[in-house]
Amino acid sequence: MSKKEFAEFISRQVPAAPPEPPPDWAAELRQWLQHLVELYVLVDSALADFTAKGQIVVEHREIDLTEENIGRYKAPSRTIKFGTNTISMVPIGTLLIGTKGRVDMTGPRGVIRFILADKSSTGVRVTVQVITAGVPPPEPSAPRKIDWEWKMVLRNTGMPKYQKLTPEVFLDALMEIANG
Amino acid sequence: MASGLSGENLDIQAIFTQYEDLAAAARLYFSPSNPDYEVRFFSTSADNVEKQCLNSLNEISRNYSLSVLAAVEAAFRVDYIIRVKLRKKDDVSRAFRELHRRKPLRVSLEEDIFKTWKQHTTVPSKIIGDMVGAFGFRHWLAHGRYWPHKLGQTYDFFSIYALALQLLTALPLEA
Repeated sequence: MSKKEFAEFISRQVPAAPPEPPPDWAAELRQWLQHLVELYVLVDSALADFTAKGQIVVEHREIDLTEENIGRYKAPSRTIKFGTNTISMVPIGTLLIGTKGRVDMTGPRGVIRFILADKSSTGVRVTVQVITAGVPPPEPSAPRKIDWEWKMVLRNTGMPKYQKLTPEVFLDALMEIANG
Repeated sequence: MASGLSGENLDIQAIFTQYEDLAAAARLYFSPSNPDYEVRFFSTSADNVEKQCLNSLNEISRNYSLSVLAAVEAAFRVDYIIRVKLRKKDDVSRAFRELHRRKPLRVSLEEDIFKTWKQHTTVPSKIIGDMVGAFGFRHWLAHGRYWPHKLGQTYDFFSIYALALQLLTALPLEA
């Protein structure tokens, strides 16, 4: 091999990517708790007119959660009471597959799931191609920063689909799982 | 159906419906709408009843997570058997026949089958990695949870179901 060929060979070498810093679990927990605060601000604003009149009572509680790497911590939950209904909003965790966190809202007529999803996402969608020998596979898309936002998982669908969570969407969800 | 297959493997959407029904039944059982509530929970505080309800729902979630993961394994192994027998010409089928020639007795789901799908399709590595992690959770559940697991994730029924649905819908599995 000539020196020139060797120089070309070296110039084609891609430097190894610097190792990723280890996850900052304390920061993960802070972000998750902050997202929970944002969720409950939205819930409180949706219910404000009814709590002011005493038609709905919202109890602020805490639950113990344990997640690997983060450990045991307290997370805020809510219990919403009206008529004969008791609706609980329980945080499930932040180190879940495919989401930054989830809160399940459970009532007598079922469960509604709220998840942190990418702002631009409307659901789970994966497209897979079988690679054929000799045909170069498509380049994987570059990772990008995710802008997390609370969304409601739509029920009765096969592949999970999401809807942006707004005060109106929340009230519809509450009616869906309540008696009466 | 290929010989040697029972046809009794479950569809994960059917498992989802069973899970939702059983969880709804448990919520009703632990609620004042249960006609026997006063007798069953006599002298128990409402907080304690809620705690019992959450424990029960957690166990249902874990048991049905096992069912979903078993169904995922069945779907991939049935596909493997069919591809080996049908002698199809696509790259995944060819790779499986080669795998079967090297390991005629028992192929590993995580080490062999998932790896082949990863090599011969554009399936995102993260989804396969998440599923391998979920099988670590299954291993922990199936063997009695007696050691503190180190899986790096929090697993529950819904997150495992959503992941399984993504994978089974995206891949062209033979059934």
